[in-house]
Amino acid sequence: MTVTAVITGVGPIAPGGIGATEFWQATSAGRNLLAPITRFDPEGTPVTVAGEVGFDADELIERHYVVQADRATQFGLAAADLAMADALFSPPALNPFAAGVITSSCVGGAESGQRGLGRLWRDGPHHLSPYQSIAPLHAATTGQVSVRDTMKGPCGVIVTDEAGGIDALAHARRALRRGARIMIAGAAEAPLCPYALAPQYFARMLTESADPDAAYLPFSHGACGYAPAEGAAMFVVESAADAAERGSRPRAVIAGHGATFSAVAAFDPSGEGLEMACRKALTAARCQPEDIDVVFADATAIPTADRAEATVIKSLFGTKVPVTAPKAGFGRAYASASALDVAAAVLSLDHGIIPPIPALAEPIDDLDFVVGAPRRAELRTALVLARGYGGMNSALVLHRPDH
Amino acid sequence: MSSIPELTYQELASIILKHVGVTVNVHRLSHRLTTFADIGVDSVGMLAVVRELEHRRRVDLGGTAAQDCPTPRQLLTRLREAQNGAV
Repeated sequence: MTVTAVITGVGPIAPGGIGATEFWQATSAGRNLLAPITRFDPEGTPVTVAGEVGFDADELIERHYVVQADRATQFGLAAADLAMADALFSPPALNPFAAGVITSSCVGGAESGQRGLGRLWRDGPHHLSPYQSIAPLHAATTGQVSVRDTMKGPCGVIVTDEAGGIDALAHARRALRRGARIMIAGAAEAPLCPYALAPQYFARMLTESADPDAAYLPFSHGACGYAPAEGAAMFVVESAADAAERGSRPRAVIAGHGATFSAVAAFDPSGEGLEMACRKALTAARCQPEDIDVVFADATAIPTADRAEATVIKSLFGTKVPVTAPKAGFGRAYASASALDVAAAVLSLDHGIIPPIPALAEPIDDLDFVVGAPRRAELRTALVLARGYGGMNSALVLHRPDH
Repeated sequence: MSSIPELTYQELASIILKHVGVTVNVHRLSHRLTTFADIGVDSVGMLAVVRELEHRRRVDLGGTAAQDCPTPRQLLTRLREAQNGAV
């Protein structure tokens, strides 16, 4: 019999708030939290609006990580703590070799990389910290969490842009099926520095609007790209049986995952790969399209990609399924975007409330978009969609545990 | 040979705080049995401490100082020897 993987802990760190309670309050209210960038002076650069996290490192993590780790890893460490507390789990595990960490990141520790390169060229090699050999790496978050919490089991790192936040959960489930007993999985990103953003300017996918209310309008005729965001979401994933034994309440069942690669530049404009990922996830979850009660869309606000996604949703589910994209209120945080969508979906199933897209004046399609205000609904099954730049497509089906 | 003045341990503590991010009490740091591992300075942190000491004192502590000196006392002895031209 295969292991039923459940999420027992949710640890979001988002522009809307730290931890599940604050995050849910901001997300379900549909507030727009986008604002002018303050992490650096964006004067003279095309992208000036983003979703920033109010993060008090001294309060949330041990002080040495402020010196040793990138901001992304600091988010990841704090998010893992929040998720473990939510799951009533205190590391180390009884058997550290049965506990693992899988995280995803698209940008890695870019800000640390930028600072290090600056010092190298300005002051010379003797001014580089040895921690420069770790902090900028994509693997740093998995490494630091696994070392801090003595998790010596299956560990890994996934780099598939936004799809990674979903893929990490699929890998965690696979690790459980191969014998791991408890997994920390999720994503962490801190891309609000010139070194991370500048290479993206030329692709013209990021919004160049300076108006926070108009900067990120997915599925709208006014769509002009997405606002970047920082943040993290980590989860505790374990078997339903272990969760029951520990007395930890399952928040959601990881029912099915599908991933495809379209091998195209940007986001697959055909939608074929995304549709195939959805079908794989539905099949894996033994679901029919009509079983899906809400779709958390990728929602890039790039017109061709929005059109492709809307077409996929319509062709699979018709126009009756509610579609939402709470990230429109705080930005698209690369791998953390889909991890935060999973956090929102889990909390949505838990509360029976669909968090809205903050604003959508002129939708491009007649899908049932949830806009402006939260919607109460009987929710048993949620579908989360994510795409990565270059053609990664992933879909995740989550069930409410009593389903 | 004169004993190591406490000021050096004070300076070492401030280096550890700034470059490794670990706060350590000077009395603990100067205890002969205290190791860097005890106070949370890992192998990469040791490289950061050695690099900073070399930079401040303009000395070469040798390529294996971080491995050879598991205690603050040993590292400061190595530093004194290097300043005296013994390394």
